[in-house]
Amino acid sequence: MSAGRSDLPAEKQMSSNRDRSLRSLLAVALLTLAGCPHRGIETHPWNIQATSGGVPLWQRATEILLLPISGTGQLLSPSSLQITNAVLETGSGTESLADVVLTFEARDTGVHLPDPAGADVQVLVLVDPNGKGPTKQPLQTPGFLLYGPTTTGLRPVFQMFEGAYRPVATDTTATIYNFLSIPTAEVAQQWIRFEPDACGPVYYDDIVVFGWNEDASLEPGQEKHIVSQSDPDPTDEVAVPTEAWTFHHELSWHRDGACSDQAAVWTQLAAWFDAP
Amino acid sequence: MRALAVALLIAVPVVSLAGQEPSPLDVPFEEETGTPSVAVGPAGSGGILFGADVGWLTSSLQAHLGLTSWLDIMGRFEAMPLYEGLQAQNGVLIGLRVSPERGTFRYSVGVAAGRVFVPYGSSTAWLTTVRGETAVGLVLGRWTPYARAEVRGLQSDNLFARRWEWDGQVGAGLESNWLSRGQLILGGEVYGWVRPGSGSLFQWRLRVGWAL
Repeated sequence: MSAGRSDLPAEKQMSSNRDRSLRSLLAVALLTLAGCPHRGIETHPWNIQATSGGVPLWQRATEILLLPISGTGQLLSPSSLQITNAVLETGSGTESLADVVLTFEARDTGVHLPDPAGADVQVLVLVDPNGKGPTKQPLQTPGFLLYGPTTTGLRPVFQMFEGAYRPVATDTTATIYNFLSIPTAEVAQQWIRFEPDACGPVYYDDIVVFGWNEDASLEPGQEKHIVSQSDPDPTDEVAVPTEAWTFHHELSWHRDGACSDQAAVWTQLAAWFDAP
Repeated sequence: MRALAVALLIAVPVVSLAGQEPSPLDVPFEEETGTPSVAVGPAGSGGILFGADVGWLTSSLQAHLGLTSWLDIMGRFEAMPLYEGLQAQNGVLIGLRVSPERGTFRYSVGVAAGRVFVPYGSSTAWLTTVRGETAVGLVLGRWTPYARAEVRGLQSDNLFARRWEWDGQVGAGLESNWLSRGQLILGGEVYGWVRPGSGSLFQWRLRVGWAL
């Protein structure tokens, strides 16, 4: 028969109790450390690339600006457009370019380019030599606006944007704010849903699209049809026709506290023209 | 490290008490008062239950005042001190809880509403929140294992995108009663923070309560 605990000398029993307490404390400490889970928001940029003859177009810029390029459009894939006979409009005239190729990583978002089928197109490429991604990686082509052939002529048919910006009507982001005016959209900062990231909470944001007769609010991952004005100028007193767009909000967030390799905000969206 | 320090501070009395000889609490509690429980109640007519939870992500201070033998009015302040101090979502809530049973089997249903505030920069976002909670427990002498589920709604304050966001908590815990009338309540709970569209996150809380 083995001796029961009550048979142990008092000193040994105290030592045994201390060991048990220490083990319990250690277990609580380990459980506590393991039980403080952090989680960030997985962000997959479109990684928009705009090149001419293989050279990135953003290298032509020293600050954020729009490069107007026209030519003949041909779809290489649902996320890749080639513009031949490309011409860049500069402030002083025009400049012929080698073939321009626009690409992005659509992943499984369902976002795809319209097919101009060899018709004339125009594209406004938004370039920013200092542009950053969600982990502050270089992202120098934040967006583009494609004008394509429609029954009413050449007009905006596809728009894509992403960046570590908070587009508002201020000097620093006015270019982006104006760029997002077809259809007019704004990030709506929210505080209701977040991920507990290691350097502070990351809050999911919505995007508000201002429509012709009603506004639409889109959560990350949502896609909605919206009727907007073809002329977004609110001071225009002439009755303007309306048009239908599909707006895709991929992801927007803002941080309250960020590590050195994290952007403070992120916005990622696309929109395409449905019908006049 | 803050989480570890606080958890250890709370764990020490639990471990110490666990090594003591059985207390008079091993005999059944008086029928009129019942074994006090922060998780499933009730506070009892005129009684007050205080609870202080420390956990990840949320910690809280709460008080239940017994309006009748089965109905409590509840106030709670919650924040995320181990994670972000007071820089994340902080809430102030008031509500009612019904706990009809005072015997071995307990259950409760509660509703609460309040405001959540999130400081940012020099400003603060104020949000409206509503909660619905239910808990079931078994009072087994000193020990009260329980299960709990909560649904939470949070309304944004953005004028252009005012909407509700819903999530929930599902968990299980254990409370134990100490001192002569069981007025000291120590406990712990693990639960899942269930978020539609974002997956679930494991959470925990340690509790110290006091019944008056």
